[in-house]
Amino acid sequence: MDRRKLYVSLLLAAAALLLISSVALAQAPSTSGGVAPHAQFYAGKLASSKKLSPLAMLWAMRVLAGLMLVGGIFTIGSRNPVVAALCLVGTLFCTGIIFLLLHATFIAAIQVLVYAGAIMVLFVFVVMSVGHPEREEIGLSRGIISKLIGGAFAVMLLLRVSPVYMSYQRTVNAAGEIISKAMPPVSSKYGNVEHVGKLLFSDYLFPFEAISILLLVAIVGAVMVTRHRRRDDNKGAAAAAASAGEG
Amino acid sequence: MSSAFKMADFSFAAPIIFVALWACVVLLASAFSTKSSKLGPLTAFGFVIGLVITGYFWTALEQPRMSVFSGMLVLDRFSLFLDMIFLLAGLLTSLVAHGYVEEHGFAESEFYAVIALSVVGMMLMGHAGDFIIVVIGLETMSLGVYSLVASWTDKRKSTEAGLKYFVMGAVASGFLVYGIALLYGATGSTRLLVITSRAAAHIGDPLYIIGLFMVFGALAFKVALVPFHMWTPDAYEGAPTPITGFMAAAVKTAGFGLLVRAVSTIFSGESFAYGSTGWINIAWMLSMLTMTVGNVLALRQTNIKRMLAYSSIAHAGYIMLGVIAIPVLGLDPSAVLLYLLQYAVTTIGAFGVVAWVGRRDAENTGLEQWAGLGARKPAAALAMTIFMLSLGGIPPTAGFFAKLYLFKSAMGHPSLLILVVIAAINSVISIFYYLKPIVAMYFRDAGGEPIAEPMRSSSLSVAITLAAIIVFLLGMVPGSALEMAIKSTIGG
Amino acid sequence: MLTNYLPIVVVFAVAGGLGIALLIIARLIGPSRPNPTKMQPYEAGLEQSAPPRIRFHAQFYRVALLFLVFDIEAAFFYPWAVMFRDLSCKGSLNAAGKCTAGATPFGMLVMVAFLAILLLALVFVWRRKALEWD
Repeated sequence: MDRRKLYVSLLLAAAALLLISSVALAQAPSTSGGVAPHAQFYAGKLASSKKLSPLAMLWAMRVLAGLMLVGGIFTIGSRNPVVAALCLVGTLFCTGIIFLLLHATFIAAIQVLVYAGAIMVLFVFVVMSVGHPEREEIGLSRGIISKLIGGAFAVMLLLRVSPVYMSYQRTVNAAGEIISKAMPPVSSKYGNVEHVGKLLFSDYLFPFEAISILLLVAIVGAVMVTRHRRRDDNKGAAAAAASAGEG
Repeated sequence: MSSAFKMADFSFAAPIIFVALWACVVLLASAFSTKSSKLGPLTAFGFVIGLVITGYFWTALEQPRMSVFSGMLVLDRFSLFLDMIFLLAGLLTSLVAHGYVEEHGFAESEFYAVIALSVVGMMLMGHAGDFIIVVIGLETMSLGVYSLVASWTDKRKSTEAGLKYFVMGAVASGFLVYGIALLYGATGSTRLLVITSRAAAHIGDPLYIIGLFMVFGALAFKVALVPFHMWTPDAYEGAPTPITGFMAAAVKTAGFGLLVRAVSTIFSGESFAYGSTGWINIAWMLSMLTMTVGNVLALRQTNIKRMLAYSSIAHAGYIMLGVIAIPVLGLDPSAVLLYLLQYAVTTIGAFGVVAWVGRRDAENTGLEQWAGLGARKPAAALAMTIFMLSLGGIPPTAGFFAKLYLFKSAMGHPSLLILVVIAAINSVISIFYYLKPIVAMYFRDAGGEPIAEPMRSSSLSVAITLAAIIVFLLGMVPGSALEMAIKSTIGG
Repeated sequence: MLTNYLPIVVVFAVAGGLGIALLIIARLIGPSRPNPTKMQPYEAGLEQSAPPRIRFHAQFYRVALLFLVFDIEAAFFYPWAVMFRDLSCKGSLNAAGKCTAGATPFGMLVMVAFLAILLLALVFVWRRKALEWD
């Protein structure tokens, strides 16, 4: 498949997504100077006095989301895997900044340290040692039938979902704030290490302990899959002899 | 620090904690013992104890629903019944794997520990009261199964299957987490019941609906509904045979268990189920497609493993029919549970026979290699016949009764009746290919072809015998199992 | 509150700006007289005899994966360490951050349980010789 076509189609898809979401956002009646409720949602997160204005928040969010989209598109579209990996770093970094804007400072730090740091180190490590194939046919090259079926499903989904998306109106009160019991105003401590720790060792204690099982299975699985190939085949021969002895 | 939970909560999570600890014991044993010959039975023993504990909890549970760890885990008879299916599947799989691994000599002893750890993940999924636990359980299960699929590192196909399954599974997990994020964005909670109680305020909310569909799609992938089934044949064929059985039985059960729980909580609102953006229509179509495509493609297979892989897709279609019937007719999940139980045992038994027939360097999964097996190994051929009849839904096996019960309970609604008719036609079609191995074993002459010479493994024989007896008993005297399934309601 | 992050932004801006500025300055004022020998990867060393990209054994990636998992584990220490005093106190801490209600092993136990399982993983990795090169 032609690379330019890929980029164009991905950008079109991204633009369509943005268009749908901004139409949906514009739908909601707003009494506070044309600011979309989305911005108020983010602004609502910032209960402290030194908050950004809703409009600034909205634009920060838009810019970051745009950067993430571009980064994501280049990650999957770039021919050079190192470039792709670096674009992914950028995307993850933007995610970290969004967490920061939401005052989830601990998550932001972990996002940058673990994802943009450790995981990307692993990616770059793999990319560097595997090397980049010079003429590798990129994906999306399956048969026409699977493309048609996939496309039909996508269209069906879009047709079913988009009318709802367009017509939905968020409930907004007289002051133009979204009425949602789900989003109580947050304290100034929201999202810092102490807050996360308090939750982690009370309500989320069981998931925390269960994570250790998840990490355990990841380690054991990694060791099992990357096992040494038996060069001498001692064990296999022994097993064969044992089964012959049984028989 | 005032804790939001009581230490007693740990005792209510005893089945899960026990299996997790047992998995650690097996892992420790595998790290320190040079011989792996005892670990299969050791693991199986742990599953037996786990079954006893879970059975005790099932009988002793007083409330219809208990919520422990501030709502993270749910304890009801439904989840405990699912636990029993997982543990039974784990028990049979570790016995089958014991013979298989010894014969082919491919895996280190941690193989069994990973099986046990995946079972822990499945149990977490079954007990999940919060999406956090869903994700942790699903990932624990999936990471374990990915590595089990790829554990035959000397076999290219196994590695390829593992990689395919991993990549596709990672995409599905991504969809699941994204869906959960959207649901959280809409309702402000990850707790299933809280989301459900707030759902009424989100009728027509795109965040909620898209979130629901993403969760639904991810689960459809895990249980291999058409068109999310593409990975299934390759992964099932390339995986070591006992693991194929484990995937078809336990992973599918875990996925459907979660789907049933979702259907009775976050999917349950009228406006989310019906209408142009309702999931019921889509599920109806997926169910119809799944059973038809699975059966039609299975007809053409000559490799038994691949045939059983497509058969498992078709069975997912039948089970989906049962899942749809739950909200439409207001049923309890007993039909789905009973079907999952018998399907798990039957399919592990069938893959057990497939594993048993192969020798080192000769897996004998081609149908022609099974010629004349009936005369040479009558017991194994009989067991395989029972499993095939059960999969085809022919009396007097478990498959017949479970299918009958499932179809009959779903018939109360006109649109479901159409689906039941389609399913019945599909069952008839499926008999053609389920008869193929039977015909090969009994009525085809071996001629000059190399004949399958089964391995000798007592644990494999035990597993196959056990599975055959369960399948037979469930078919002949289904009363007590049915009663148990009916009592296993979703609490709250 | 967000102004707290201004120094970080400044650091990033300076680092990025310096990198770009140096490249531009070098391009502008540096002499450019390329010749074939100069363009080789190792001007002073031996001729390259084989392509540098070879296939590595999967065990390299295993080490990387193990690093990653233990790195993620370490991320959980941070909130635990911050909360440790709070978790080890039966009541809640007073305004001065002192515990008046007596100690509880809860804070220690939660981490011990978590770590015991990961220690098991480490023992397993060790015994399997997964960290050794051969």
